[in-house]
Amino acid sequence: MPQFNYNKYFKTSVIIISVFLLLAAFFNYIVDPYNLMGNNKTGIYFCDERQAKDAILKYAHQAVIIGSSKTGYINPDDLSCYRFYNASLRATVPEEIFFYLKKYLRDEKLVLIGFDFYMFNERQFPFVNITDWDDVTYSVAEYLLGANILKLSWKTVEKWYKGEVSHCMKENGQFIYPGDAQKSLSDDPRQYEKQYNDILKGLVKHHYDKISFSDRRMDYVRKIKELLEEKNIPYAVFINPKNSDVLVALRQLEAYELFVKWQKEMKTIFPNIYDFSSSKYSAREGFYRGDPYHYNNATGKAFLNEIIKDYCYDESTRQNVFLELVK
Amino acid sequence: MLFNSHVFILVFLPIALMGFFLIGRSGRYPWAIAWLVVVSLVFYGWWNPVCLIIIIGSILFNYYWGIVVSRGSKALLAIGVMVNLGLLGYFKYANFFADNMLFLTGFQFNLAPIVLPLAISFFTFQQISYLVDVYHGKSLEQNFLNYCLFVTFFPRLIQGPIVYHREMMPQFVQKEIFHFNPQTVSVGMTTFFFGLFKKVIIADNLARYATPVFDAAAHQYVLSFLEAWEGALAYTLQIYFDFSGYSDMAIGLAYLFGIRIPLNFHSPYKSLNIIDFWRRWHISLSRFLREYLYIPLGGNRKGETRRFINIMITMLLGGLWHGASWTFVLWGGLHGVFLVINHLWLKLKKRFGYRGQGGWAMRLLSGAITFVAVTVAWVFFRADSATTAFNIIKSMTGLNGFALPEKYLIKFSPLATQLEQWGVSFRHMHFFQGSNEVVYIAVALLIVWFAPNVQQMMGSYVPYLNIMAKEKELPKPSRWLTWKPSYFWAAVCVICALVSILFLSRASEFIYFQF
Repeated sequence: MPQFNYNKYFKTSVIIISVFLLLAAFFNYIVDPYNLMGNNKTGIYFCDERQAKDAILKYAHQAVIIGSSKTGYINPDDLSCYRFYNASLRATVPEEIFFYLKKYLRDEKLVLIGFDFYMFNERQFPFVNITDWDDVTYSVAEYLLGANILKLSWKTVEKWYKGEVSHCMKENGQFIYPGDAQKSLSDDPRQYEKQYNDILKGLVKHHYDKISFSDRRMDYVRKIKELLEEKNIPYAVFINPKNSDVLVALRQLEAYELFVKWQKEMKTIFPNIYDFSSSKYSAREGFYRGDPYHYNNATGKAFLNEIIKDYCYDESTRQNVFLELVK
Repeated sequence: MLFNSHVFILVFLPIALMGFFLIGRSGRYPWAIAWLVVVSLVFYGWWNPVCLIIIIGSILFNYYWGIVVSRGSKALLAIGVMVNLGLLGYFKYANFFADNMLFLTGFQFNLAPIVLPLAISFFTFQQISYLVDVYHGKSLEQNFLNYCLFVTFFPRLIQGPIVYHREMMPQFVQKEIFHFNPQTVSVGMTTFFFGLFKKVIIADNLARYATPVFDAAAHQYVLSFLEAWEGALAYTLQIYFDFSGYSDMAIGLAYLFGIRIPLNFHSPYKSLNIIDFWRRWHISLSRFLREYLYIPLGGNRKGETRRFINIMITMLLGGLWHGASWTFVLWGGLHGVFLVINHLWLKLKKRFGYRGQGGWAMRLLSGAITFVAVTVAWVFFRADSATTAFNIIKSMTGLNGFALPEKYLIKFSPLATQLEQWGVSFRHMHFFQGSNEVVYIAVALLIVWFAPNVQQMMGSYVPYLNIMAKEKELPKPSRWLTWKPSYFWAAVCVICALVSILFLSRASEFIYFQF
């Protein structure tokens, strides 16, 4: 093998490294898979709402709904009284909600926050060590020089070339439900029941088996309350409806005791909390067919409007105008 | 600023290097030194500029105190050492002291919130060694700028290696270092990128298996046998690749400027006993503790019992140096006990006239015992509390049962009944899936046990100061693994650099960053 001299070694290495990095940065900049640089022309095929939901700053809104993917699938345009932005983040946890609200809340007229018991399981959802929402989002260098972004840029180009449809989120922040699980389930009722129960079993195991309950997350719940009260923004906190089948499974587990304790603690922090965990919205029909965890848009719309009606005031008269608006 | 950040690699380092060589080319060497001091302070202050006040204050005190101590007063030396230890004690141990006082006596100290200045343990120890050396007439720096550089030189400022004034500063007298030298720059750059690869690609990926296990244990999750071993082994490997990767980067960076700093690691997991382990792990700290603590305590000169007491004191304080927590003290104490046992074993062997190294089976057994002992000790180092550590150890010993992942039930179906009779259950495990993590840990183990280390690969150029006991030379690897300027090695360097830079993530601090 031919020998280099040191000069050639150094220059060749530095030049190749620089050229490759510049090409990677250029490719990511042009494709811009999350459209963070405003250059995306292919369509956004990959959703990382933690990167994309700074769109709240550009979206004209009066109120915000935030929570996990459960609330993420609700179309905020179906909610009454105010123009909502859906700021929900998949698999979010209270510390993320706190830092997101801290960074992006301005003078909203209402903030709706959805919590779930599983969010407090640090075993399944490790604590997110951040001190600011900027710790979650990409810096320009990370975005342009990230290997994962490079992969997404490449896949974006592929999908665009094949003419695939994007399953991402709408301008108002609503996730587009991919519906994959629904499609793969059998039409045969017995077959379907078995598949449904398998999905249920897997989800319950992941979310509720051997819970490491996070007290520090409860501290963040209190911080969220303090933040909203400090900013003087009206807010309502709710616990998402649980599918009755999930409730049955949960009652069999050790975690159930913790769940009840958690509900009580939430009630202590937020005396006016809306607890829909076991409610008229828990029927299986109110959830996606192949997904016992996510209620559908109709369910979300119904129970959220039930909350909103308590907060729908005419600013000048301070009269509740919910019914008039619904008419 | 972190070595593994875009701003350091793509902005800070090129500017620091270009500035140094451009000024050096004009022959204004003191200006080049001043440039290095300024960029080092920028590097240090990047995280929290307020900490600059502390490091500058410490430099000013020690520089002038060095001049005072050079007159030969032991009392003044003692005052100097006490001031340094006081500074370290206040910033690092005040809260620890207050918490323990509260626990023991119920008396509560009201301390203002204390921000631990970055690298305080390293620059304090470095300056203590300087004062002692000045007292013994081994060093004295008359030039304030040079002294500033001795303390702040950025390649080794944050996590060491701990370098002595007498071994680093004479190198800045050589005029050649101020001129661009393609050889040192090529060797330095390659060493840096190899270290970066170890950190970003190997250590950070191992952390994905270690961190959740320790976090879960901290939340009273009862680990199964395999989960506990997965966490302990992943952390044992993570801390090695993390810290030795950092040390390689530091050596590479210093060598870019033509400066050699001490070798800090020499494949410690290849050790066949604990004494050997401490000759290969964090060598510069071991040397400091030996020369400035163990030997002044009397070393092995005052009888066997006193020797063992000195070992225990040194290791307990060495543990405490790593952090203000009882887990670090336990870690140090455990290593102290291991060392005492090792010395007693050697004594026993000597008494029975056995001098041999043993055959391969004996060596394998020694290596295995040493590795397991070190792994168990790391559990204390990593765990958030002694209770968590003991729970993990309990699982590692099998006292919390032995389970295999559910999916193995099909694979082991003929043996399943028998295994279950022996107490092996098949169940869902949250942290041990029996797939990627096994491969990852196995590959990393093969590397640490059988591959040459980065400094061996760069060995022909010796970009480090050899501070190994008796200046023992590193064994040379086979020819194809010895770096030289060639197409092959340029390709390896480019791949390491590109992969590492593309996988940099901001959340990944070095483990020793906090010390």
